[in-house]
Parts: sequence; C-alpha cells; structure tokens
Amino acid sequence: MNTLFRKLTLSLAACLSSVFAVNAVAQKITIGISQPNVEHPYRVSGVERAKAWAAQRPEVSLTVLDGRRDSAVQMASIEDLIQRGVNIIVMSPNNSQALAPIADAAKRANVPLVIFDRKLAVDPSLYAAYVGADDAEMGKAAAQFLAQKVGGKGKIIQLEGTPGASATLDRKKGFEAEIAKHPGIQIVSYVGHYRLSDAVAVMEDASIAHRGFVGVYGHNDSMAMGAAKVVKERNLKDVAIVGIDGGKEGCDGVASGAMAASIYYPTMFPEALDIAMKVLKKESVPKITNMTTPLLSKANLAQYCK
Amino acid sequence: MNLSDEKNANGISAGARIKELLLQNVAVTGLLILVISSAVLSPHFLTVDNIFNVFRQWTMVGLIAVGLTFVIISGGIDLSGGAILALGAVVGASVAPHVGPFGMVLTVLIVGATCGYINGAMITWGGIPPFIATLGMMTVARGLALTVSDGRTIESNLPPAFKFWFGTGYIGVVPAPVLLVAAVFVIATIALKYTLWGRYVCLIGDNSVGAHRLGLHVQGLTRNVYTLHGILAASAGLFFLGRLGVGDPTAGMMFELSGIAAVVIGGTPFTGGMGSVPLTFVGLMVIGLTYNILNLMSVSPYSQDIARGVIIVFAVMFSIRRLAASKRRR
Repeated sequence: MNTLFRKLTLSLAACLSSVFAVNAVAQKITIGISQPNVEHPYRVSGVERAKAWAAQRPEVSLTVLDGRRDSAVQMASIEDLIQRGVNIIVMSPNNSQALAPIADAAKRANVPLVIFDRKLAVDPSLYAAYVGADDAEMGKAAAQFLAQKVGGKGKIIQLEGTPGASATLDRKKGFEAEIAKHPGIQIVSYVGHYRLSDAVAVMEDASIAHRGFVGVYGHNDSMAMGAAKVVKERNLKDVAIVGIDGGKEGCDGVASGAMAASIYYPTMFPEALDIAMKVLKKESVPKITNMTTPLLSKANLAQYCK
Repeated sequence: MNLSDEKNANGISAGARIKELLLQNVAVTGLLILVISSAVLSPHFLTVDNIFNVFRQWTMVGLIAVGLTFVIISGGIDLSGGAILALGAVVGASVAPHVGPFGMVLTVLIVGATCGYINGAMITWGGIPPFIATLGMMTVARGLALTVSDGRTIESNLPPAFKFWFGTGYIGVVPAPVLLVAAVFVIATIALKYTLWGRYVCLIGDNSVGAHRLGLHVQGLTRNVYTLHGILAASAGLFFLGRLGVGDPTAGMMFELSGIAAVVIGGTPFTGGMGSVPLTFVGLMVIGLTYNILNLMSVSPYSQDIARGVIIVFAVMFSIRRLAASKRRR
C-alpha cells in the first residue's frame, strides 16, 4: 500500500514535471540525492547544505529521497529516480551490500552514480566517484587523543553505534587497534545506537559498574553528549569525553567543555555535488576522494564551527 | 480450587504453601529469581542508586505498558505508543518557551488524547483491525514528529519546575519522575480492579457481545481505552523531554514492543478479558533488570540481545503455560 502510494505519487510527479519541462526555457540539470535516512542530525545538515548549494544554481533541480533506514525502500526510491530520468544520482547506501544491485540498474539506464559517506560494494568501474572519509582513521585519532589525555592508563568506556553499520565497525576497529598499544588502558563497550537517549541509559549503568572510569569514546557526538550528561549529573571529575562528527552538537559540546574533543566528519556536501557537476560536464574526477577529518578542540573551534 | 482451599485450611507445611504461592504467579517468581541471581553476580546491583536508576530508565516504557494493559485486556493492541511518545516530546519542546509548564503538559496530553481517540475511532467507526489502525497511527505520529521538528532534535529551555518533576529532581532518595509514574501505576491499579469502568473493560475483552447485550456502550469504552493509552504514551514523551532536555523525533523507537512484552510477561493474555497492572510492573522489571544486569556485568553488547530475547520468550512461555493450566482447572 505504502510503496504503491509512493510510486503513484512519484509517477504523477514525474508526469507533471515532464509537462512543465516543455514549458521551461532551458533543460534543467536534475540531480537525485538518496540518503539512507533524513532524520539523523548528520543527514539533516547534509540535506540542508545540498539545498543551499542548489539554491544558488537556478539551472539545477534537486530531488532528495529518504531511504527510511530500510535498504529495500531506498532501492525502490532510487529505481524511481532512474525511471524519472534524472541526470545523475548522488547516494549513500543504507547497506553497502544490499544496495549493490542498483549500480547495474543505473549503468543500464546510463545514469552516473556518485557515492558518498558509505561505500557501495561493487566494482569501482560501476560508479563515477566516491567521496568519503576514513572511519578507521577517525577512531585512531580519537584513541591517540584519549590515550594521551588520560595518561596511558585507566578504564575507557566505548559507546558503539548501531551494530553492523560500516561506520560502527571501522570506528571501533581503528580505536581499539590504537588503544591496544597502551596496555594500561582497558576498554569497556556498550551499544548506544548513535542516540542520545540510549547512550544516557547505558552510561547510567556503566557508571555504576565501572566506578573511576577516566574516559568515554562515543562513535558520534549525540552519544558523547549523552555520556557528558550522566557524568555531570553524577558529579564525576576528570573524565575525558571524545565524540565524532563535529556537527552542531559536537561544536556546542566542545565549546561548553562537556566534551574534550570531537573528530570532524564532513557531511560530504556540497563536495559530492561539485563532483557530480564535473562528472556531468565530462571532466575527469578522482575515483576516490577522502576528505580530511581534523580533531576539533577548543583551540581550533572557530575554524570548523559556524 | 476447593481441594487446595481445604488443604490450606487444614494447615499444610509452610514449605508447600510457599511453593503454591510461587507457582501461582510465575512472573513474580521469575523476578525474584532474577533479583537474587543478579545480586549474586554483581555487587553493584542491589544498591539504592542502581535500583532507582532502573526505575527511572523504565518510566517511559512503564507508562506505555500501563496503557497497553488496558488496551490488551479490552481485546485490542496498540503499536503507536513509541511514536506518540516522540510526537509528545517534540510538541512539548516546541511549545515550552511559549506556554509555561502547565500549558506545556496540557498541550502534550491533548495531543496524546487526540492520537489515541483517533485510534479508537478508526477501530470502532472505521472497522479497521486494531493492529492495522495503530500501525497507521504509528507511522503518522512518527511522521508528524519529524515534520514538527523538521527532522532535528529540538533543544528547549524547559521550565525548572518541569525539569524537576519530569527529569532530574529527587524527593529524598527517590527520583521525582519515579514518584509520578508510581502514582500512575497505583491509580491505574485501582481503576482496573476497584471501579465499574475497570470491570467493563475486562468484560468487553472477555465477551464483547455479552457486554453489548448487557447494555454497555462497547464502542465508547473501546475509544476510552485507546484515548487513555494515547494520553499515557504522550506523557511518556514528557518524561523523555524532562530526562534528556531535548525533543527527539526518533525517541521511543520500539518502546511499544517492550511495553507489550511487559504486559504479556505479567500474564495478560493477548486474547484479553483479564490482566493486572501490578503484574505489568513485574513484567516491566523483568525486562528492565535484565538490561541492567547485563550492562553491569559488561556482557558483550552483541550477545546481550540474545540473552534478552531468550529471557523474554521464556518469561512469556511460562506465564502463558500457567494461564492455560489455570483455565483447565476451571
């Protein structure tokens, strides 16, 4: 029922837009953006930046579709984009493997793909470009900072993101590999599903079970801020909290001193769209663009937080 | 029944009587076993701090579970609790700067009542099965929460009195939100067990045709029950807001399922007709303490899910068996 309705409205919209396209003076460039979800703060700010980018380019028409955290839904919506005949698709897969077949479909329809954030598990020849950042490197950077901050010993609580997501796996792997170099540090892991509320709940339990912990590493800033809330309520002193993302939450957290640092993870917008435009103009683009992920602390806050 | 009454009257050994008592309610026995084994496993478990922690963490699911107890007893089901919670939290955070603490609580409760009433209306007037009607409400309420908040987490300057009662306050050693929710549980217990309305709810779940022939307004009562659930779910949103200080449109995901599990572990059958609010509390604690002890013992987060699933299934299995046995005896 739901997908039927979506398809109906989408095809209706497609009909309407083709009618209006005749009236339009010049052919607009249509870019379809497919996000795995549009409610996570990271995704929301990506969409906002993309819209701001498009607002300055009257020749571009942007369509943002929501994958609703469901690979099948995202797959169907990208198929619809291909049907509508968009010029290029900029997407981040909900699941690297599950969305892989879409690359073939796009290739057949001759619609180039620009992948951002999460990788797509296909042969690189099937997509035009990938824009991302190395999650394992970010985990490593967080580990180096925390290890130094706590003086190489003590218990660190790791708040993991949604199990199985590639970001979670890599942020965990990079962090744990680096901490393994410090035998004095012990890691205890909890799952916070990248959510503030879940992080608060597990941190309450963790702070009872592991009194005297010295640091917290959150796989994103929401969870790091959840940890900061519990640490503040329980009046715990000398706990270094590090998160990842460097969005609004991270900036506020570092500015207020609740967090010691946040590793900046770029939203990939508008960079992914610039690359898409280059692809459309047949300019050469690097296959893989890895964005830099600097560490945000009080010292360089002004540079990355607006 | 008569037989065992006679035996008791004749004065059977204390051991047998305790055995009888423990068997009479499997959920309570399960909870006792859980508490004792947890206390042995972790020295941090049986501390005032930790227990009230668990109470406060589960206030939100608890409120939804109370609403669900009535819904399930009346022979229905409601899947929209978690989504109404999110809508309540988001609406509360949006109106907080404008209307003061009382206005804010009132607005949120009205939103919840409206959602719940629409659920009831869809089921009674629209003839839609409760599962589907509330599934629709679950999607719509979540969508509304996302729309109102524009997908963002709304940070709000909450009135201090609100924060105290719904979030961070303490009365002695007891967190204020725990006191409020405890009051809800007591009132709900009385309403279900000692009022005519409570008996009617049981009757429409047990035999709705009979209830109708008796002259009861079955459809009206059904709408009442779903409205009550909506109000309680939205008030859970207030507790979310008080506890975390932000209105998060993704709050309360799957809370309805934990709530349903709590009700069923507490021995309320899916077929309706009977049930108890205190036993829902016991079911809630079986789930809550399981989460807590696994966290306290730092069990690997991935295997925690396995343990939780197994415990919930076993708990439900035993309470349903017990139920079947008691029906046979009748």
